[in-house]
Amino acid sequence: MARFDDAQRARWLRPNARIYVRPGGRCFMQPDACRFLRPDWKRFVQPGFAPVFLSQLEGKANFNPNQPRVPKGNPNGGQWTYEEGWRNGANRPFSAGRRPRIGHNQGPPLDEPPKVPENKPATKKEQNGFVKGLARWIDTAKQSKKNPVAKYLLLIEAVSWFDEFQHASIISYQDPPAELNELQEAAQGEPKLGYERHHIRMQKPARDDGFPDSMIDSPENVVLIPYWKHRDITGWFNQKNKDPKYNGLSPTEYLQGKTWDERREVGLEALRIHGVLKP
Amino acid sequence: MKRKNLLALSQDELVEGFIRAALNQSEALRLEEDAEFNRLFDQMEEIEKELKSRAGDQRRGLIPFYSHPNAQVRYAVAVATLEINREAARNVLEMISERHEFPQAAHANGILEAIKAGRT
Repeated sequence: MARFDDAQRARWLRPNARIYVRPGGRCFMQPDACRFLRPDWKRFVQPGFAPVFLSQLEGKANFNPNQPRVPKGNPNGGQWTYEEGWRNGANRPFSAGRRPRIGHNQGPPLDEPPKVPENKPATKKEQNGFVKGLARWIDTAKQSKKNPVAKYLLLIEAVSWFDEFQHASIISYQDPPAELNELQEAAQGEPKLGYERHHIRMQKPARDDGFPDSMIDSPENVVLIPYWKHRDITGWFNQKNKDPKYNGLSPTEYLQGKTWDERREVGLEALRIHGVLKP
Repeated sequence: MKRKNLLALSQDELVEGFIRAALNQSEALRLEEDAEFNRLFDQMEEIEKELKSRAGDQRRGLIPFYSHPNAQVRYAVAVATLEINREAARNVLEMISERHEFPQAAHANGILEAIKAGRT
């Protein structure tokens, strides 16, 4: 399989590489895209091409060029290792007892990244569907520890219709969990592209149950969180839940008539399980 | 899906119905259609109850789907079989969580918190 992969990659380096691009395929990947898989990929990025965006993604992807690699001559030679180095040439990318990751025999492989629409989708809903899907795919791909940064670059380069907000919302989705006070303080600061203010105790249900705006909008109850995480959390509150605590209700239904403290507990749970708040 | 209709279905048909509903839930989540998600939730609860009531607890028919490519399917079958295949089902939920397969990872994290708290 390794030989086949090598042969597949090699054709993109030939002068006639374009003959391997399917009709209409330019919207997905350029024929010379494999150059972005090289360690010196940065020199192929046009000067001024969203440099902030790329370095932000690189930082959030935990890209480290000094990370140990599998030595040459081994079956996965050249790839970043998860463990430090190799012992006696044994192929042990996972320590004993570690859970299988994306691509490992016991886990389904990572999905292909979302297909880039050739033209800007006509509706905001379609655009958002793609942007949200891409943000999630990047977050999932990062967990594979195989340095998929280069793949992000291919996708970003392919998408010419992204606006500033869409770029920012993809980056913000990659934020690691934060402390509660950090999220609260950020909400009191200047608005930030790619982020939205979120009420820990959801506004409307609290208002419907008679809690005053002074409590609902207090700094203690408001956090600044990534835009797509906000959408995910809002959905979660309205979705029926298998946790026995909710007894088949959605969290919003469950919270009807509940106390201020109980609302906070559920609100913090929502932030934790969505990877926004540190456990 | 009415209870009396489920009685007439074979185990394979029930399992297929559950998986199909989970796939539709996945689509509902993608499109942010919470009402549809909830309708399918109720449908899946009925199927799960019917499978459980059959001799030998036929929820075990869902176990082969632990490695399905769709995260919502994996999440749904894991939660449905937690009672009868705890460790393996828990592993499925933990994998979804570690892989950050959102939005399912959030639901999986919730169940994992419930397990830790002794609620299930």
